[in-house]
Amino acid sequence: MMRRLLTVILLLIALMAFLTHIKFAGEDHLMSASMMALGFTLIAAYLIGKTVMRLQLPKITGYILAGILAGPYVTDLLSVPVVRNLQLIDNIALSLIALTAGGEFRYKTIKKQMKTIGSTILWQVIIVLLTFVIFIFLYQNHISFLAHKPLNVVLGVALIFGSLAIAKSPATTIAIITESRAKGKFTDFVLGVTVFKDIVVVLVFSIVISFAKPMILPETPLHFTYLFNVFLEIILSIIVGFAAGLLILFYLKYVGKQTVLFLLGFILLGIELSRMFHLEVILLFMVAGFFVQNFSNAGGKLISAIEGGSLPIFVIFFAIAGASLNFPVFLENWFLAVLIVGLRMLSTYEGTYIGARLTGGSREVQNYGWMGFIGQAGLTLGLAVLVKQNLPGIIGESIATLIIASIAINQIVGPVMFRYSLVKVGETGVNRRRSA
Amino acid sequence: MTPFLGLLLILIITFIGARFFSHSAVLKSPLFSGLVVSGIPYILVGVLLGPRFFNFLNTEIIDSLRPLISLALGWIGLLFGIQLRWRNLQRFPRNYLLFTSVQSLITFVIIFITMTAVFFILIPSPFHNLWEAVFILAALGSVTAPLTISRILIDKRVKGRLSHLIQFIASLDSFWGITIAGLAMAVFHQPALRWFTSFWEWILLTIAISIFLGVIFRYLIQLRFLSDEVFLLVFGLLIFASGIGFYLRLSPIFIAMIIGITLAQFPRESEKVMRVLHQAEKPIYLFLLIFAGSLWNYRFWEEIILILFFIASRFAGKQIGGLFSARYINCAFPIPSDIGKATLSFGGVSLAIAFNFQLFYGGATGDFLMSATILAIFIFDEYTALGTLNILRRQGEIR
Repeated sequence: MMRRLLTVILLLIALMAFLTHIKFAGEDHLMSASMMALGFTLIAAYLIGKTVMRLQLPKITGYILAGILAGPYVTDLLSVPVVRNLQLIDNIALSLIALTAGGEFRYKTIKKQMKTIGSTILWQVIIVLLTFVIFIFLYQNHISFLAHKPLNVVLGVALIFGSLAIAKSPATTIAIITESRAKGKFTDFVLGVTVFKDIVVVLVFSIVISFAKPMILPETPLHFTYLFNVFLEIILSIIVGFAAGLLILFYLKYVGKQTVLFLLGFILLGIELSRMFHLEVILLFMVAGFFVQNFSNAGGKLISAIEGGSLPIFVIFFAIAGASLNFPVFLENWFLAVLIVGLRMLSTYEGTYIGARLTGGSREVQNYGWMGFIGQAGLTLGLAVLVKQNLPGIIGESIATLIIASIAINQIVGPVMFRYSLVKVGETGVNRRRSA
Repeated sequence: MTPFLGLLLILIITFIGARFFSHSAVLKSPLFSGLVVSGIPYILVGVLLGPRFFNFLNTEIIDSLRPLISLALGWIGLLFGIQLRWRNLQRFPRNYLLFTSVQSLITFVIIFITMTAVFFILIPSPFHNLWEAVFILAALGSVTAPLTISRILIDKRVKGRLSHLIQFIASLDSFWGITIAGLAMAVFHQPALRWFTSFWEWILLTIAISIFLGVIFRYLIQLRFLSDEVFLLVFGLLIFASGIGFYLRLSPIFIAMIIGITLAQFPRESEKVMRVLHQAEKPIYLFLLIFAGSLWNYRFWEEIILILFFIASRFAGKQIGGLFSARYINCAFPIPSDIGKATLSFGGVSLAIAFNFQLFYGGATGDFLMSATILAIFIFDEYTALGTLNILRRQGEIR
């Protein structure tokens, strides 16, 4: 099987390389090239995912690797404009993932762990923020854009780094849980933290940026318009999310056919509404999924419908994420990026351990829980872009660059670690079958 | 409106349409079968949504959703190709295939000669890409749509050798239309900057890529995959093949058809693919119809005479093709000389070929091809429904 998969992958790559070398005069081929690339990526990434699975790695690592290999910095089969064009799928993918996250969140089973979940998030936030403040202070003179800067600037930058380090990728968590068919207390814990942390991250980031901006740019007055807007967006997203959940529920109950097609249409509508009214699309769909799962008995139907159509979306989403990883930026800043990744892992471990221990969380959660929070992707990237927009100039630019470089590592290492932890605690589908 | 909302709107209409299609009792009436089954209402919905009326689907949205059209074209090609299993075809009386091919090719030749004369001698036309247009028009005109005929045969519970032959023709003569249109796109291809500078290289490339993809896919899908994995792989193959066609400006329908034919020779693998393709058959067809309506940039008074020539030549082509085949090809039972009336049905594949041209060449020529196809659907489908009923009644195959 392995040989056959590799043969097909190589043949497809050869065909794609051949095709991209055929050029015509004076025509814009972006749209057609994107479409061709999409089909190629879908097949090749999935096959690579299937191949790496044999090496005990998660499939999504294969998708990401496929994206990196085909991407602009290795073979250039997917050029920068093509990748940018394909990123339009991101919103659909994230919405579907959010719907899954909410739909997998069963309050009845998670409620016993709510204390541990809350405490873990709290301690993660405190310890990660503190660690980065201390690190930036100690290391300040080795960071070119912070050397000999006043204290308020350093503190502002440190807080921003810290708030970005708290962020994780809900997509990675959901994808690994889905592909491993993981179930159990540990899985519920990671899922619970993922769902709530998504709101916490956005709030913490908004608070931090409101305070840090006047620290870094003294000419900017301290005001909380940004924070207020974010707060309003979160409240509104939750309300619309409940309404969306209600509509999905009605559909599942009274129509119940062609659900995948319906969900796709519904997601498009949600994305459009979010764009028009500045809603948090991930939060909106998480709440919708949560509503269907916990306020009705149609949760199973919803999850099985999503699972029926989500595989291509996952493959494309992670392959494009791989192709978008900016390796030149990483290579320029690799040392600092590695340090940031190391610190983030350490502080996440500490935060999870303390948070779980204080509330009597299981040993598995104390020891391996942190591994579920290492992956970073779209959300962090989006926040990094916001930093750049809010802090024009060298400081904003440099923070974003370093964060993008560290995402490159986290996105590769994160899924592997989470899968490893699931195997270790015995909650993957394979584990369950073996023990049965 | 944004492309997302545009797509959503089409999704909703096709979704409701697909449900209506499968549930409505009205559709079973012979009076409506030709009119509705051919999808004319969806074309009209498309016209209303398009730039000519409410402009919900404006030019920008239609433009950004073009890859989806290309995907739908590939879908149609693959679905058609995968039914062409040589072993299955051999089970039918030997001359059925010959009958089908001859009537189709005669229709092609008659439309081709008529439209060449019209374009180059009678009414010198202002269009560009005239030769391409004539080839494509003749190719799409030679195709018989199976939907209306199948509907009549199912609803009236028709059984008999003639209805069997008519169904065979309607199911298979698209092969020639798709092939000729696909080869025409390769022949008239603009040369690339490097390599592929002559038309025969483009023809070879089209066929080689298609067979290559078909063989690779067959090799791959022999492995055991779960149903969602098969869906992903088939979906990926379709996007890839359609994307290649779109990128190289070769017909995605033709490429996908050859892939389908290659796969069809391996029954176990083709069955897996077929299951996936059938899931979205109706929505994709309705999606194409709505798009056709919104893309339909008609110029009635400039085009109407040309379209009438096309319709007349197709009518003549199918009649002469049917008459010639009925007289000279022995199918082991008497075939009425007006069998051509039952093969006039027009629809899906022809529309897809016209779309393909519009997608690549656009302009006034593309608009004309779309107009000709849509108007021909309006005229031929209702006529075919009644014509087929008449012939089959006369032959005693409808009681």
